[in-house]
Amino acid sequence: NCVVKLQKVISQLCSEHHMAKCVKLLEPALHSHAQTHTGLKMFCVFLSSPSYDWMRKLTQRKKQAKKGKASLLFDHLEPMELAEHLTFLEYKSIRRISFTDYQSYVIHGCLVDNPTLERSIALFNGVSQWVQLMVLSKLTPQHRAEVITKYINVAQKLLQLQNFNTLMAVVGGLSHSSISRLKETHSHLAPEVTKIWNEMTELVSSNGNYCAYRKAFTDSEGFKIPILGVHLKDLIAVHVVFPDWVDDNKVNIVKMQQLYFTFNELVSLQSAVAQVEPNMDLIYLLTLSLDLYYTEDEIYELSLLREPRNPKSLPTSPTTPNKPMAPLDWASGVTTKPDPNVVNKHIRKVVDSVFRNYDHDHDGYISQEDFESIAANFPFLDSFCVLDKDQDGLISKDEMMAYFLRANPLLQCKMGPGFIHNFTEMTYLKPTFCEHCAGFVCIRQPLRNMFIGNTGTLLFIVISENPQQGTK
Amino acid sequence: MSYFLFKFLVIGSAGSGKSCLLHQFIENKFKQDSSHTIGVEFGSRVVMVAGKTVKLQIWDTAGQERFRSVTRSYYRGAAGALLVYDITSRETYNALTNWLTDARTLASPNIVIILCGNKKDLEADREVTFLEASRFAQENELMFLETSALTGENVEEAFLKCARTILNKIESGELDPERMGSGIQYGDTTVRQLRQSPQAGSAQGRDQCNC
Repeated sequence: NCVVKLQKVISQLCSEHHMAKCVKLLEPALHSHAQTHTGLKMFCVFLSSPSYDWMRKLTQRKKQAKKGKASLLFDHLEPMELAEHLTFLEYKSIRRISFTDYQSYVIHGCLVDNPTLERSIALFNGVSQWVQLMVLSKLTPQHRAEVITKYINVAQKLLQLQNFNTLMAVVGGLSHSSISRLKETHSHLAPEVTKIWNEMTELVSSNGNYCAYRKAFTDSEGFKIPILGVHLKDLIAVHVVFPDWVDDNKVNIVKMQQLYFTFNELVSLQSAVAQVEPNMDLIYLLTLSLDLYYTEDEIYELSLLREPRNPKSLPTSPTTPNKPMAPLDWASGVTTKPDPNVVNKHIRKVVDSVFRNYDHDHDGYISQEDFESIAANFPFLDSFCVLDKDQDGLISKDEMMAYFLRANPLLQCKMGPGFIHNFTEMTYLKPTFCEHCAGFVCIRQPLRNMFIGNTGTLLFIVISENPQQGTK
Repeated sequence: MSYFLFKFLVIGSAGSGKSCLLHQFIENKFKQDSSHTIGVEFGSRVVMVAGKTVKLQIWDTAGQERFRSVTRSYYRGAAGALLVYDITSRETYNALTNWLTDARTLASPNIVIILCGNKKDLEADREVTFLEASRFAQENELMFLETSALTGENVEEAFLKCARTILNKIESGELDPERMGSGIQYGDTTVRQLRQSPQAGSAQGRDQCNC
């Protein structure tokens, strides 16, 4: 009798989302009756695993002492360093996803009140877009080919680190139509690079239900990050295909087993240990670069600008750079006047970070040389002399501040949403105020709101799960 | 036995019932796979269409809708697609244009698409009228059906209609299975020979087209 009851409860667990509550009530009962079935046993192991709640709390970063020479972002980072930092970000985001988050996704078939999973997916798509934009920011086919080569090397390192999720994001970005259509660029890729590239695409291809990836993933030992999408797809498939019940009110053990295997793979990440010792400044800048809010159409338009559709009408030779990017017509929706104080505060943060990383001799000025590396990492920045208002050959903090403040309304029309309210899901623990206009944030349960500020060039995100700790 | 193999895609917003639709179609043909290493593969069924045997290999994108670059990788070499929305959710209907653009740019330009307004059984919660959707279908040259994965209504028809259109296009020479990425394969050589001899004329015509 007990076992039948238990089965009913477990099946409820699978179909409802009062998971956490039920688990607490049932755990002792489950344990005493679990011996009968392996499926149940596995489920119990699962339920009794620690919640890792602490990991989902916002961590406050300690300021790291600066070590030696500042590392620059994309251009100056070794592929391995870049891969490691991407892996750190990925790991940090993915391990926050709890069993209940996954479960809710499977049951609803979509994202409902699921900010952790949503953020992880945003990171994934952010990496893909960043890859595309970095390639497309270069004016000549050779330069673009160099960037592609670098990313292919990064992909190799990601594979080495067994971070399959970011690998998928990078490969996905590079195989996006906005990049793959660039014939001239691809003609500059070395044959050995193309060979590696083909291997990488084979590895994560959807052929045979991702059999190449699944094999590689099963074969790899130790720290590994799965391709989230593939495993979510499995979960949904199992959930839809198998009935919860089989003949005579028996829990479908095969379903439980299948769910267990997949869930286990995903959730075991929470207890995994990342081997990366990150440089937090770099992480910060990388996060800035990844928070891109471009639409696919905008990226594709940029791709068309780089290598127009019909090369006969607009000849491009490898030695002549294409025309510099004309302002695109970014339809950026409603613009609101933000509170200058808030804007100032956030621009200050970005400028500080830029100086920390790019002002090599720490004299408080960005030289022309320093500036070039900034421009390389953040496309769409105006030329040096525009920023250097007093024409002394150096950009001071104030000059850069002034530039961003001035550029903001100007850039807004061509660089996508600027300091406009750009709402994305975000969960707050307490009622809070809008970071841009200081207006009270209208709340529905759970509290949510997120603001994305955008200077047009350096993009930054103003999010905070706990407003008391300030922004990050 | 000689047969065609068509690669099909099921696309559309999350929660529109893609997996259910597919599952309804595959039904008991699905083999329970106990080995977790190869994942869950439940996407094929052999059907008879216009006297020909066709194996439909169907790729479900459920669960991955939001991973843009993952979903895109499915399109390569798809012969047909079921574009699914939920008649009780305008949001899923509004997203159709995006899915359609993806399908048209990423898959073969000849991809045959059928629009499926799913959850037909939930008439009381309907947010998208039949008329509105059929206009959209007409404007975008799509076939259109309203389906119910729950009752099974029109599910079989949707897949078969798509397969039949592809076969017609092959017979009229509009679609060339020999072309890379057409999403169509021969089960063996006999079909190929049968097809090639009477169609030689039209095949030549197509060669001149550079698309």
